[in-house]
This record gives sequence, structure tokens and C-alpha cells, in this order.
Amino acid sequence: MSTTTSHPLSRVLPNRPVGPMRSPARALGWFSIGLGLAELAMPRRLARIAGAPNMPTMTRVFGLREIGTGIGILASKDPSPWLWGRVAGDALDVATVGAGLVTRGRPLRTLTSVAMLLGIAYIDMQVAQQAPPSRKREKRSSHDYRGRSGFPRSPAEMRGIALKPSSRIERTAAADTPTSASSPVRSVMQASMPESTTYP
Amino acid sequence: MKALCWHGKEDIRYETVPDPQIEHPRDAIIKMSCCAICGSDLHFFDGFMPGMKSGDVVGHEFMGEVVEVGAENRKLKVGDRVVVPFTICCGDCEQCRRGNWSVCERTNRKKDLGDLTFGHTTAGLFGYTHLTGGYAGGQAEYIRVPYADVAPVKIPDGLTDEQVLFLGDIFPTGWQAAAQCDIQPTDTVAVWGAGPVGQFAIRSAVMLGAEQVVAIDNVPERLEMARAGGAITIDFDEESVLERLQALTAGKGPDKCIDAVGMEAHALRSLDSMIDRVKQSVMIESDRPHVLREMMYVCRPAGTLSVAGVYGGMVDKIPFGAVMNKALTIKTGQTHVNRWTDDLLQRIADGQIDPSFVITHTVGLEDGPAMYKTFRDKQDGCIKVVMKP
Repeated sequence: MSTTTSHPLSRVLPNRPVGPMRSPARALGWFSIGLGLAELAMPRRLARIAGAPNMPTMTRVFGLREIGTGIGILASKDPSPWLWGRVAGDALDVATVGAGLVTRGRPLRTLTSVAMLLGIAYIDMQVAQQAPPSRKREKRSSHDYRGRSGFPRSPAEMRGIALKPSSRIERTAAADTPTSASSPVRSVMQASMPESTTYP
Repeated sequence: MKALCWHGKEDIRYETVPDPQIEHPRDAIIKMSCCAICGSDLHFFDGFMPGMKSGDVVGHEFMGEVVEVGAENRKLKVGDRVVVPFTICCGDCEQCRRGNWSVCERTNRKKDLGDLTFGHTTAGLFGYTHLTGGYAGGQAEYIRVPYADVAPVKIPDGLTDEQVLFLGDIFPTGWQAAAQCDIQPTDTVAVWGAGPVGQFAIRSAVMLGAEQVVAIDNVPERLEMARAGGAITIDFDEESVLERLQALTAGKGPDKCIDAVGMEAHALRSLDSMIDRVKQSVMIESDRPHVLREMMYVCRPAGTLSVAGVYGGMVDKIPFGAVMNKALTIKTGQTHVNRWTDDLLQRIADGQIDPSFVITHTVGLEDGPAMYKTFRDKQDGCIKVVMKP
């Protein structure tokens, strides 16, 4: 009997068809935007609920950061850097809310918020670690399509064939010759065009 | 029967659905022998095309054998082998009589949705959203073809399915993109996108006499196939498209520009594309029109922009001043397939072109869901997927 160990997050954040961590990342993206909007709209109330210092301007700046990160996660093909950005933001949030222990005088509320932030940071870190690395395409054709012109003769011989009524064309050996990058239909434009005239 | 059905973003399933029935005396039922995944199928696969419903049978590139015909259908008989254009046409309305088949006024049975979305209804399409009729598509073992006495193209013996399948969409689409440019013997034609439609646009431009054809993409396999068809290639990851096009045309710009990309441009390194992607992700812009902007900017004055790539809704920051001041002409539209099929079928039969060059993957219909991803992600050198039952 084989045993497989599934990641604890896989129950909470089930995998979706595209990319193992794509869906959790998107969920975090939307969460980020939602939290950011809340921080922008009601910074004082949020700070009071979280037991954080009452610094509405800073809370709004944090809100903008959250929105930017969320859009980055949703819009980017490779959300990894944005997810790590969230982790860095979490550290900042923990430090800022933690300062409420000194300024707010509601230690239970502050400690609860810090614990929640640490939980969110853990989720962010797990999702960031498991996000697939960006796919770097090797700029070399993996398949040989050089012989796939579709034409019975070389492209140069086929130029303008459709300007007259269709007639039978027999295939020649040239059609099967792989085409190189330097043999397009014709590339004499530069040589044939006159120099442009500049009027004073 | 078995069919590929849409159930949401990136969720295509191979499942059992009811067999189609004759619903109107002009109908026919086709037993599919060959079908394909089209680049425009990726728009609903990626969740960018509105108007899909869970369970919709998808696909609009298909052909097969007629197995049943309605009582009033005088064109087809059981046993005929046909390619079915993706546009459903009545043949009677004013637009059909003018040859504007893709804007047939009668076949969109959800005309109200079409009117609401685009101002006026367009033709019904197979397997392509309820904005265009909500007709069941061709990635299925059997397909009901409405108005089957108009559009289906009978195929003579001696031609393989792979040679003629693309008469239903991508070959005429690439051809129309080039033909509506009115190509002159001294023209440079630039084609954005070297996917299947781009490949046919390149070959069409060659056959229609362009002096030079330039293909723009960033996928090595596609660029290689474009070169095989006679194009000079530009890898937009490696060099500036604008600078190279200027260099190839002595600073004048391409005379004719073809957009074979559409609403999901992937030029991620350009600032406008990044902004488009952000806007699209938060639903304040439906399409990513990087190619349109680039074409408008680089096209030679008095040139033509031909848009074959599919757009679905709203685009932002279009440099229309360049279009107006440079006296550019814009030609666009879903393909009027039947305007071109007789001529193209004859050219295939005469051996002038073998459209099967573009097929890179042939699989069973049951493998379709996986191939949507392979095609979308351009994995394994995938350019065109053909499926058989």
C-alpha cells in the first residue's frame, strides 16, 4: 500500500486544473484587494478592531500596497514575486499592529490580531513557496517545421499564383527543401526603394 | 453521444450528451469524422468570452458525413462528405445575398443578445457563446447543422480530411485577411501572430503576390513554420518590432498589416500590454489590443489594417489619431467563409496548397480537454490540434 503525504493546505485550498497553486494564489489576490479597499475606506475603525496604533494615513498607504499586490497576483502569469511581496507586507503588518501593545492598551485584542496575521503570513509563505517558477521558454524550436510550407514548390515560385485562375501545380523537390531564415519570398525592398526625399 | 462540453474557465469535459435531432426541414445531421481546436476557442477556455453556459457543446471547425437530412433539404443527401463553415447562413437574407455570410440577419436565434452586445445581430455560429445563437458545436460525434442546404461544402473524392478540414474556418480566415488588403506587387505585408490563422495569412499573402511577408511572434516553432511559408520573421522577445519593420521597409512601414492575434495579445514586456492585463484582470477592459496599437502606429500612410483576430468587447487607448491622419483603412469581420470556399477548394484540388501542413497534433476526441491546455500553453510544439471520434 502506498502512502502519500498531502500538504495540509491542500484541504483548505484545493488544487485547480491550471498550475498547482494558481487558484490559492488568485484567492489571495482577491483577499489582498478586499483588505486594501477596507484599509482605504475605514482606516480608523480597522485600527481600533485590530488593536493597532491609530495612524490612518499609514493604514491607507498599506491599503494601496495591498491593492497593488493583489492586482499583481491576479494579472501576472507568474504570481511568485507578488506572493513573496505579500509575505514581506505581512512582516510589516505584524510589526505595525504589534506596536499597538504599547499605544492601544488592549493587549488581548492586539495579540489576537498578531496571531491572525501570523497565520495569514504562514498561508502566504506556503502558497509562495509552492507557486510554480516562471517558465522560461528556450528560444529554440523543439520540433523541425522547416519543411512545412504547404506549397508544392518554393514560396518564391508560389508568389502571385492566386492572381490567375487556379490550375494544376506539380510538386517539385524544392518544396521539400527546408527553408532557411535567409530565404523569404523576396527581401529586396531596401535595395529597390529610392532614398527618401527631405524638403528643407 | 460523446462531446466536449464547456463547464467554466479552463474546464472542458469529454462527456455524454443527448444525440442531436432534425429540428427543421432544412437541417442535416453530420457524423463528425474530423474536427479541430481553434485559437478562438481559447477565448472562452480562458474565460474572456461572455455568453457561455455550463454544458455547452463547443467547437466550430468540423467535417463529416451526412447521416440524416430534413425533408426540405435539396442540397445534401445521406452519405455526402461535407466541410461545415463555422458561420450559419440562411442564404435568403439581404446580407447573405450580398455575400456577407458572417453577418447573416436570420441565423442568430438569440438575436436580442446580439443586438444588445454589438448593436446589430451577426450570424449564428457553432459552439461559440449564446451571443451568436448558442448552437451546439462540432467537437462532438454528431452535429445538427441548421440551414444545411446553404453553407456546407461538398468534398470530392481524392482529398483527405486533413487537406480540406480547414476550409471551414482558418484557411478562409487567413485568406480573407490577406484578400481584403488588396495586396499589390510592391507591398510588404506584416502579419502579427504566427498561429494557425497567421500561418494561412502568410501563405495567402504569398499567393496573392506580396513582395515580402513579415511574421511577428515569439514562439520558435511558429516562427520556423512561418519561415517555411516564405516569411521573414521577427521574434518580439528578441528585437523591436517597430525598428525591424522600419528597417525592412526603408523606413516607410508595412503597406498592409494583418492582426492574427486578437483579444489575448501576449506581448508582456510592453508597458501597454501590462496595463491591459491589469485592467482585464479587474474587468475594466475586456480585450488586450496591443497588436492594434502597434499596427496603427507602424503602418505606412494610406495602408490597410486587416483584423482577423477575434475581439469581444471594449478596448482602451487606441491611437485613432494615427488612423485618421495617416489615412489608414481598417477591414475586419468574422470570415465570410462561403465567399472563398469554391476557389480555395479548387486550389487545394489543384495542388497549389496542402493545408494539412499546419497540423502538429492528431488525437482522439477524448483527449480534447488535455489538448486545450497543450494548445493554449503552446507546449510540445503545438500549433494545430485535430481530433477524431
